[in-house]
Order: sequence, then C-alpha cells, then structure tokens
Amino acid sequence: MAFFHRLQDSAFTEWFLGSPSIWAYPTVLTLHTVGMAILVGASFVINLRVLQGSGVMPLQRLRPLYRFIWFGFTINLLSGLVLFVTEAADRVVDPVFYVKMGSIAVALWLALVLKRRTIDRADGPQVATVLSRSLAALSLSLWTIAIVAGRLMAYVK
Amino acid sequence: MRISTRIGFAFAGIALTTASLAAHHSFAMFDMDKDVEYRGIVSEWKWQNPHVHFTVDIKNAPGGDPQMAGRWDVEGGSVNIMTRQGWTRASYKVGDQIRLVGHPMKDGSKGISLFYAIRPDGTRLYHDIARPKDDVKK
Amino acid sequence: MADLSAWIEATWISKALFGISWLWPASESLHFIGLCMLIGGAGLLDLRLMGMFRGLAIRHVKTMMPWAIGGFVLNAVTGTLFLVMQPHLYLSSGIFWSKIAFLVLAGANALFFETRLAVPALAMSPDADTPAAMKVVGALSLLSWFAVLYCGRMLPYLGTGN
Repeated sequence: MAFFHRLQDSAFTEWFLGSPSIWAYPTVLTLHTVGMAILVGASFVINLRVLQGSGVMPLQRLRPLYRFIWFGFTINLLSGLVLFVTEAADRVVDPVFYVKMGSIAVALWLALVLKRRTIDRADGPQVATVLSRSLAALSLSLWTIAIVAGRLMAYVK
Repeated sequence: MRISTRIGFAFAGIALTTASLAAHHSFAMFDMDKDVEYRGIVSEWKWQNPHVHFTVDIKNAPGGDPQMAGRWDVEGGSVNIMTRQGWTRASYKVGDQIRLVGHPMKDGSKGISLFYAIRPDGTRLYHDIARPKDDVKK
Repeated sequence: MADLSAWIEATWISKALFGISWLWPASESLHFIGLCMLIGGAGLLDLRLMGMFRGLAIRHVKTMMPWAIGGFVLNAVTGTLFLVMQPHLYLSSGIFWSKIAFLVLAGANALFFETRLAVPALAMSPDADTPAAMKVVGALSLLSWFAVLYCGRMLPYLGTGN
C-alpha cells in the first residue's frame, strides 16, 4: 500500500496533474480515448459479424482487425499506466477500477477465444455456432461495462 | 427470434442494468442559479487535473449563520482553464484566508461549485470565462 | 453567445434535464459507446476504401453501416442533450466549433461518397484495389472522425468547459 502512495504522491504525479500544458494530462487522456475507439471499435465489428451468424463478410477476412485490437490495447495500456500511477493509492482500493480491469481482461480473452473458434480455422464455417454467438454477445456487454466503469471512475474517487 | 439474438439482448440488458444502477448513485448536484459568498481558511489545496479542488474551513461566527460553519468542498475546473483565468498553483495554500463566490449543493451538503475567488484588492479570479449570468467586473 | 447560453439555461427543458442527476453521466457513457460503434463500423469501411482488407467486398463491408449510423445517432442525441443542459460549456468555445466543423467535413465527405462513388464501389470485386478517389475519401473520413473525437475530449482543457 505504501508503494501505491509513493506513486500517487510522487513528484511526477504532482507535475503531471498540475501542469497547465495540454501535452500532460489532457493529451494522455485523449490518447486513452483514441485507444478505446480503436480497441472497442474493432472488437465491436468482430462481435457483430459473429453475432450475425450467417453474415456476408467471410470471417477469415476480418483477421487484420486483431492488429487494431492490439494496437488500441497497447495505447490504452501505456496511457492507462500513466493515469494509474497518478491515482495509484485511490484506485487500488476502488471496486469500480477492478470491475473495469476485470471486464477488459475477460473481453480480450473472449476476443482470442472467438478468433480461435471462427477466424483461425482455414476450413472454418461461415456460420458461427450458438456458443460463439453467445461469447460475442457477452463480449459486447463486457466492453459496455468497461466503458461505464471508466466513466464512473471520474465521478467516484 | 434466434437464440443468439435472445442471448444478445439478455447480455445487453445486464450491461444496461448494471450501468443504470451505477448511475443512480447520486451525482453531485450544484444549484447553479444560486451565488453564495463564503469566507474561510484553506484547509486542503489540490492543484490538479481533471479538477482543481480545495477545502475551506468556515468558523462559527457570532451572529453568523450556523449552517455555514464547517469544512466545505470546493470544486473548480481543469488546471488548463483556470490557468488561463489567472490561477496558479501558488494562488492559495493551506492556511490562507479565502473569499469566494460559488454555487452550493442542492441537498444542503457542504459542497460548492466555484464561480470566482475574490482577491484582497477586490478583483476576481474566475474559474472559467463563460458563465452565462456574468455580472459586472468590480 | 453568452447571452444565448443564459437564455437556453433559463428554459424549462434545460433545467428539467439538468435536474435529473444521473442524466449527464449516463449520457457521457452512451456518448463513448456511440463513438466506438461509429469508429468501428465506419472505420472498417474507410480502411477498405483505402485499400486494406482486400478480399472483403465493399458492398459486404457496408452491412456494418447501420450500426455506425446508430452510433452516430446516439451521439447526436446525447450531444444535443449536453448542449441543451449546459450550453455555456460549448457555445463560447472555439474547440467546440472546430468539432462541429469536422463533423460537417465528415458528413460532406460521406455525402460525396454516397452520391459519386457508391455505385462503382458496390460493384467492385472483393479483391480489387481501390482507385485514388476512394482512398482519399476513406482517409479523409477517418481523419475527420478522429478530429471530432480529439476536439470533444480536449474541450474541458483547451476550450471553455467544466
């Protein structure tokens, strides 16, 4: 716990949160929004196509979307780490923070499961199974919960 | 309806219920139509994004409103916007006297949305430039 | 603009909406969800127009568009709610009007595509590379939507905002 307080009370935190420069807090926050748009946007398309069951887009052709998922996630992991450091002690005891992290972790894991079940199979069917469609629906809900939790963190400290 | 659609709606319902349950946790509601003046001592000073935040201790003055006494939470704007209005990290510090005008919470709890602080020379430090009912600068 | 904001904030509808304590935060969450739907759906089409995702026919990618439009509508509605509840945060802000300008640019770009390029685009084979005009339209679309996002997120810091 002392470790998290050291992070939150560090000179870096004081500079980062107190700087009137737009390149400090505002830029990192905006990068986090950009990452979210790319990460959740790409996941949204994949989940939607899987949910469509017998959609017209060949599932295998959507594989490049996973590059965007990882790109968006990387932006948000890095920007998120910076933001976390500045609030470390408050967030480590914040249940909303854990809801957000948990939802993201499971949603990403589901994205990989869906990839294995549908996109990676060269002989794979174009019609996703009931299980895959359920996982896609669950993934959509989890991203929704993650976004709401993220917004809630701004109000509940 | 296909089973996948049913499941989809079920999960969407769960997500939205969770979201609205969370949202009904009451959010800070300031009475933006009320301008009240406060005088006290700064007890906490947080010059930080996304919101500058400080607390003001008001003494129970003889002849004064007893409901005024206590520790008040003052919410400002972003460091960036307040800096443009003339605020700095050094504008106030713990122990300083402060005079400010702000909007109190609707439910009577000790929270204030900052309108402007009043400097010793009488000039104002506005939180933000675009307040609709802006009165004449002294 | 300050007078217009004051006038709006004095109306019954503005007070009633802003008086619902959870409406503002809920609208923010919905606004974020809407932008993900929009950038996801429209983004895939834009990238295909730029020549990526060969093997996907444009007419098939367009099946995602109703969802992108749904996201846009969600954001238009929540955006209007913000404007009605707290106009003073936006109407006097240069960054807000920049956001509107980029929205208009994105819309005009989409209109240009629909009226001039859609017919040949929909007829293209899945593996076809796209002509330069489509590449420009796709790139401009992506750039303008991300510019809209940037302006919106920066409002509390660059422009007037709480």
